[in-house]
Amino acid sequence: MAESKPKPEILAKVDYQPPGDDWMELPVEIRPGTFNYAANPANAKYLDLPHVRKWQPTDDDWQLPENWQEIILEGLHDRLKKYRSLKVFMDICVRCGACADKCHFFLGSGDPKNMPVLRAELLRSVYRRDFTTAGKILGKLAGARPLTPEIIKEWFLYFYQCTECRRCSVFCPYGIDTAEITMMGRELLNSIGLGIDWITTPAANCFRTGNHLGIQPHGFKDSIDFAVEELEEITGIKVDAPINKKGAEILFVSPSADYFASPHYYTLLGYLALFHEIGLDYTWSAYASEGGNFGLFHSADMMKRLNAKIYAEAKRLGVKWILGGECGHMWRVLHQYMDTMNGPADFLDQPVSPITGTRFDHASSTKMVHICEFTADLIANGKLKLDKRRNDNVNVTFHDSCNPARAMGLFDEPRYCIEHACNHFNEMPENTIKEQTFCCGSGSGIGTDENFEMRMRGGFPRANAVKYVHDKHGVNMLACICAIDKATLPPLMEFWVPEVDVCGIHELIGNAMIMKGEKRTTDLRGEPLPGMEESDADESGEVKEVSEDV
Amino acid sequence: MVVSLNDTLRDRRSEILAKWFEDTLATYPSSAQRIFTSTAREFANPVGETIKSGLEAVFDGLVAGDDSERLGEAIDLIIRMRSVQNFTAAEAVGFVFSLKSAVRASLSGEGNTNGLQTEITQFERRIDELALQAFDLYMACREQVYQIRANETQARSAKLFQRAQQIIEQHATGQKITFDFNTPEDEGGDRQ
Ligand code: SF4
Ligand code: SF4
Repeated sequence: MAESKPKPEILAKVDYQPPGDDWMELPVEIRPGTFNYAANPANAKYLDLPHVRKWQPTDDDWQLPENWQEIILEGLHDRLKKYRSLKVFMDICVRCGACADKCHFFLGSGDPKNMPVLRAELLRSVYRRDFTTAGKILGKLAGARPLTPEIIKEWFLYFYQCTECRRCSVFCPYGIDTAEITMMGRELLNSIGLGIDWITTPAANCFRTGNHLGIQPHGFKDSIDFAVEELEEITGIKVDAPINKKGAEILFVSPSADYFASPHYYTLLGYLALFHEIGLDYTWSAYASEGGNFGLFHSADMMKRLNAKIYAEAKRLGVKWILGGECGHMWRVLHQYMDTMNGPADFLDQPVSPITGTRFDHASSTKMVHICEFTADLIANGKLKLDKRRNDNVNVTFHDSCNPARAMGLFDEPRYCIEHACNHFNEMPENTIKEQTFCCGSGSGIGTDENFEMRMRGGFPRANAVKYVHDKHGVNMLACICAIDKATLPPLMEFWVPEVDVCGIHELIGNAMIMKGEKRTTDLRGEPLPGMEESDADESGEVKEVSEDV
Repeated sequence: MVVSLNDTLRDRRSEILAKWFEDTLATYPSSAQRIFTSTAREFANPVGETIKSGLEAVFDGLVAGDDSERLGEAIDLIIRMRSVQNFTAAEAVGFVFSLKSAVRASLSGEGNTNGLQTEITQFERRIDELALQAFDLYMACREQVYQIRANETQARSAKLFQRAQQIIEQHATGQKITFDFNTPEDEGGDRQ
């Protein structure tokens, strides 16, 4: 760019006006309810992170390392060299403002620094000053700022007030992805020891035992066995849930919240019932016991480190391919980065459904298939007996989780599953679903208790659309396919639309599915199953009358 | 001809609401005001829409003489929203009072409003009552936030708690404990 001089007519069009509000002067406010706690030093140390110390965002002095400016500027320099996208994103924004009103945090709070264009400007202003000629000469007039501790505080607040959801990028005419700028901002913050605990601690646990809560193999087995027992109590059927079974055809990986949190757990029961019913030859892994990867929210290196176990376990167990459960960011990692980071998975086969014979060509490189794709294919091939009436107590709408939606384009399969498992399904308005979906407001590691108010603000655009379908169509269930959503949408609903509950798609499938030899009167939550109350099942447990969706 | 205050308010509805809306939006940063005022589709501008439709419902309710329960319903979402935004309690509910100045500004062009004084005073008293009610709602929202936070912590490890409970019971009844429950305290790692 430096070589060719811009023409005068182009220069005449250059807008020298800094963005309105003189946002650069706005003070940074560390307000309770809107920031995240610092990383626990023990866990940061466990991960060998740099500049570990005890500090909190509420401290006046964040005890930055002596040469912190040098670390940041060098880090930025390295990343500009390494990632061409970052260099392009730094240079090409024309401040058209198309992204400004697309971020849920801005829409819910009105804070201008939550406009994606200004969020990116936090980094760009430093880039301009130290990496561009105009910025070096013109300084603030060219939107450049010197790097001060105040700016670091601002980065910490606003790069952890971005859920890396990428909604803004859908609307940017240049395709600038503010989520990637946030990722770089977080990497730089982490390089001077400014990480948050909700990311660092799960990452440390994951590195140690394979999952976010640090559950060890025997604990994992106990959790799965417990679920098998509960499923037997509900359905009368004892399913097999193999763990670390060498030579199984498929390795199944799901987010760990599926086996310890609610309402995730009912989705786990749904998977177990489904795999039993179709006689799938599969295995869990007690080490790849977590699909989620909080490394994504920390740094590219951390993501790679935590992801490695998935292919490693697939190889060790000798499976043919991998099936993945309902999770959001897990799929961003698997779909967009795993192959490049830890592949090629040339020891695995092209995924083929053993039940229908369908080849999943889109998974040729990663060798990993999403469970909604797998189940939709089973339904399409008439392999499941689904009685939609069993879900007649729910009127469902579907929340497209940011990552499966915007990082995978997974729109149709979840809807296909819902429509074949439920009679009552109503979509939210089109500018709030599919690629335009509104984030839950709690993704990317900021779904913390201490950040609760910010989450309620950021989740408001989503909740507002749910409220609309609740008021208009009587929707009472928000289905989703993400573990973070399942954890954070229930409190969001409780606050904004308390009549609406949250579930996973495989919970709905598990409820609707007629299992051979089943004896059940309740759904997976132990609530009465519509049409299956005591009188509908005879002594032998046979179902008297069902309309089968096959 | 004697015109009642309510008739006047009905006539001036859009003017008064426009002023009240403007004053309420003025509590947000200026760059946000521009966007919240835009006529963007409902779901693209939830804060602006919530305030707009909420103020309309509250105004109509006040004019129609609705009881406090209905007025509370009308104002709930705005208060709920402002209870988690960057406001103090006073700032969050203060917009209710701006209705007074919006009404007075609208009536000031009216010439002689002497005959309406009693009604105006009564109307303003109802606005004061509504502000107090809004404050109660604000407090209820804040309490709810704390309650939800407590429940959330529980739900995040619901099944582990349940299992732990089972183990305690097994222990109490002398049954063999089948599972050595993992507490990663040594790592300081007690979070998901
Ligand atoms: S839409 Fe793109 S080009 Fe326009 S202001 Fe936003 S990031 Fe910049
Ligand atoms: S990625 Fe999402 S949270 Fe981040 S700035 Fe864009 S819209 Fe906002």
